[in-house]
Amino acid sequence: MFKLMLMLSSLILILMMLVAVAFITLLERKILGYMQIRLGPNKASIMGISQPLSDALKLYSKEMVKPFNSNFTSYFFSPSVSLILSLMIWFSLPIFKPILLMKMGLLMFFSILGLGVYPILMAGWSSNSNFSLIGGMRALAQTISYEVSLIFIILSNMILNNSMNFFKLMEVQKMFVYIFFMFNFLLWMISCTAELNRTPFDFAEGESELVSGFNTEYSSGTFAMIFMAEYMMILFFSSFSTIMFFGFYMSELKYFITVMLFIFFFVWMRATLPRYRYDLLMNFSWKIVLPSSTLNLFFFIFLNLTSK
Amino acid sequence: MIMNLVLTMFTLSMILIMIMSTFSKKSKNWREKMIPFECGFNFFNSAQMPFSIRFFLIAILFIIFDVEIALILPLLTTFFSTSLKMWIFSSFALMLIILMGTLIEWKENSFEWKK
Repeated sequence: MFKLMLMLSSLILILMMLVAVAFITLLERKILGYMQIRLGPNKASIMGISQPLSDALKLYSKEMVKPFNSNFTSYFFSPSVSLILSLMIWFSLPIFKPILLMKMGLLMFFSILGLGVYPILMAGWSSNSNFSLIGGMRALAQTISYEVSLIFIILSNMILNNSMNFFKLMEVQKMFVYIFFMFNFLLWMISCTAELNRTPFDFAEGESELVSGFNTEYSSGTFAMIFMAEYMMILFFSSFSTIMFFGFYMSELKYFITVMLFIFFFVWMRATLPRYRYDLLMNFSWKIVLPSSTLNLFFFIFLNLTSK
Repeated sequence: MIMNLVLTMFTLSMILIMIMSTFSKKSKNWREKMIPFECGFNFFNSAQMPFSIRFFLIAILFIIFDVEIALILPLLTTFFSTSLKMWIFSSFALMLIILMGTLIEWKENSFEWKK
């Protein structure tokens, strides 16, 4: 009975994540609206509260187009694979703590993060359009080249508690919060934005060059799934950076406030910063972020010697 | 328990697919709608064509660094189970190898996007 209740509560948690994703899209549209001195969606029910739900309903009732010459199986299933991966990556965090606490959560996180490029590549390649292919290629190269430095940054935080357990990371940060390593945090925010394909680095779907990137050909529910997976990753990375740099517990109010601040930061960057250039992005990744994160890891290994 | 949760994820996205395929019943397909979007042109040939070699080289570089990450990972868990001297030696040797590798790749212009 107890186990059933725990199972049910985790299921409700997952469903609430999906609802949160819907409202993050509303938040983004509202903030973008106010930053460009307009109102944003405010007609549907009170202050546009039910806008994301009606958007989802509209997207689901639209026509599903099967592009000519496309590889339909991988075209149809890659959005759902992407959604499954972005839901599964939550298990690496100690959110489901009473029933599931991963001792090697770091490995789970790395492996699912590494798998995340496959659905993008599949979606770009199989929809048989030039824009999709180029967008998929760009997203792939960008994601894998920033993943190396991202992993180095996470390792440099995790090496201070000498385990792969994220719960231990939060325990250690009761005494000293890792946000004080400001350089590490800066590197983390840069590679996090590149990993999420958000605006200063959104070459996967640059509207002015490629029409919409790898999801050009997607229309109804499949597009909704891609959209949900992307915003789920934003939500995940916000809460992950809250855990990694502030060490707040999930049951506290300040955890949720910090997550909201991170999400607001990602949206704010979208409203202010222009798009970077692709070759400069690659140079920036391999020549600046990667060597500095490696040196940073060196520093943290040196720092870790004090713990014995 | 993890297996149950993973299965829950699968069923959730299968339910989403089923909802989609039941609700989006409207379908009127003609030729213009089925062809890939290309700014008003009809496409000449398949879009699944050869791509620039730079993307491939970036992927090769990523594999090298990924193997190095896999070598670093045991450093996290073995700090208290080995002697301090051994841990310092191995970690510093690994980090030096990674730094030297990065510098050599940089010197050989592997990081340049265009020659």
